[in-house]
Amino acid sequence: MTALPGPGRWRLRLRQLLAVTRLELRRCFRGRRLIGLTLLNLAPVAILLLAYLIPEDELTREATPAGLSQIYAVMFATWMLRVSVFFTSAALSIQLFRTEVLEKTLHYYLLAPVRREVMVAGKFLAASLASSIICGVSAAGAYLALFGWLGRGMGRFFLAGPGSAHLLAYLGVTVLGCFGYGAVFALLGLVWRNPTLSVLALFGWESVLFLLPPVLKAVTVQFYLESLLPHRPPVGPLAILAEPPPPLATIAGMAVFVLAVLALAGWRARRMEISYSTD
Amino acid sequence: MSDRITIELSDVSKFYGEVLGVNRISMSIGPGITSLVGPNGAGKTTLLNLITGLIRPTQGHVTVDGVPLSDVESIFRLLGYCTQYDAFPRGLTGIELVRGVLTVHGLTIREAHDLACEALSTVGLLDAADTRIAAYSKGMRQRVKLAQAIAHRPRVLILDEPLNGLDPMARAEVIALFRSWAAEGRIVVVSSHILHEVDVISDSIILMNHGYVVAEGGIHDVRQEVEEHPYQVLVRCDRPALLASRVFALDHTVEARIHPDARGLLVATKDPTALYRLVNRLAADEGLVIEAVQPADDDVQSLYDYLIGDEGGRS
Ligand SMILES: Nc1ncnc2c1ncn2[C@@H]1O[C@H](COP(=O)(O)OP(=O)(O)OP(=O)(O)O)[C@@H](O)[C@H]1O
Ligand SMILES: [Mg+2]
Repeated sequence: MTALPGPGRWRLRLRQLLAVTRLELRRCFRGRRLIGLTLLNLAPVAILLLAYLIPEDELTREATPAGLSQIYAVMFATWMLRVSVFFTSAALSIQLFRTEVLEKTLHYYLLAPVRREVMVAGKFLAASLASSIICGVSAAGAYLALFGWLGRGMGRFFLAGPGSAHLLAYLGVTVLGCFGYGAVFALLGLVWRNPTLSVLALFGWESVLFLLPPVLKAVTVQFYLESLLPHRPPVGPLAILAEPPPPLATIAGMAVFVLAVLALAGWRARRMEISYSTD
Repeated sequence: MSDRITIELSDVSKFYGEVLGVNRISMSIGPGITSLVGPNGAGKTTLLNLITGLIRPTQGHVTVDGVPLSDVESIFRLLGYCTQYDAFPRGLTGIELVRGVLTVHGLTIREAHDLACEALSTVGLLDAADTRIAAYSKGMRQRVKLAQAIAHRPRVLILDEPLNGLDPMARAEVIALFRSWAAEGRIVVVSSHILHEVDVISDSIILMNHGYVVAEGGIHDVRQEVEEHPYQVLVRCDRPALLASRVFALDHTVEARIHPDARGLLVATKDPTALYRLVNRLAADEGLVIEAVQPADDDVQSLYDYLIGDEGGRS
């Protein structure tokens, strides 16, 4: 009578993972939250585009690939990573189950024959993919808008120069950032009740990155992400320099971290019960 | 997997902190329609949530078809639960909800779509499948929840107040569905706070109050118990003797005693409505001064009073 295939097969779990991810992606791109995130992420692109309204001035005439690359590197590190990626991930990943508890719809998931770990992984994947898409579009848009200053030189920069490779590298770091911060926020959401407070605390922590002694830098996401950028942003006079690990180790380390957080969240989800505030 | 499926509860208790949800419940529920009846706060939802693993018992354990609830991948293939929560993921249409949950079961979108259509048409909601749930009426929301619960063709159906919000026509249709599912050998557990609503369709009834199972068994046993149980009502008034003489003329009076302080009459009756009517008439026609009319029964009696009342919702 039961219309479903037998349990316990990995292919089935993979299908379930994709199904949860698909549903959750739709949820991410819905609701008022998205408006704020769009504004946050469009701001740098919009500002760069506005600059075109200003009549040709020194800056645009003397724009060189090297100069613009420096500008983008600073912008990417200070705005994209520290603000856009950070807050977009925060909004989407801080409490993977929060909306559903508030809206009293969690039981639809809990009553499905799906391992709680699969459910958690699907939700995390969706949140991280959604922020990757939003922030990726923003990073790429800003990149194109900025290097548009090269005018006809833009084609050469992208086709013959390092333009495309650098753009890909920035996008890669954006995605890594979204997954990395996504995992950090998912973890914070698990251990800390008040989401706003934990986001602000982390923001403060990551913002003083350049002041931190090397040992403490190892516990910021920013440190690893910046080490992967095509151009390291210039550091202030107060900065304490630390040698970053090789890129591959960084990426592998992040993957391990994400999996560890997912394992913990999955374990917590197995013990989850419905307790909507009584109606 | 056995042919005859059962839900087994052994010594199950649930406390919400200090608050008792249900206490020491042991029972076995087999195929057919089982009704869970009790007033608000009796513990019906708590019991159903325990059976479906949405909450874990403080003590004791539950199995369905011999499978412990922790084995989610097996258990929720067997089980469909239409909850009491009138909440839906935002922005979805009926078909999107039912189909979406089915894809989480591991079905392809095609398969999920077919099953979802089948379920929606079973509950008569196919025409509204592409309408947003936010635009549904209460009855339609109730039905889309039913569709969601039955879509994967579970052998065990748990339905928390499924008749709530349905008009008489829809009720009759839904009750016919319960019967057809029971006839297929499925377990159908239906909760309600109105005994009349479910007594004729149930193979077995569980009466609950304050977290305890008060009576349990076939409908005939339970109904007999309910009907034979008189209500005790204390009428406080200035002339209890006058009232007593009239009360004995009523058909269903079992006993009437003047209160020791001579300012009230304690009446045991099987038809409290007639008693209330009489009291009102005496007050109007003969100037009987009524101070208070209050049920004077113990817990079980007031429960029955509540349950067999037509509205069911006096307290
Ligand atoms: N999440 C919760 N936290 C604390 N107490 C709860 C919770 N859920 C239920 N209770 C308490 O447990 C008892 C049983 O509640 P339950 O919801 O199971 O009753 P019910 O029979 O379903 O009532 P209703 O007819 O109103 O749906 C009540 O006293 C209720 O206040
Ligand atoms: Mg209830």
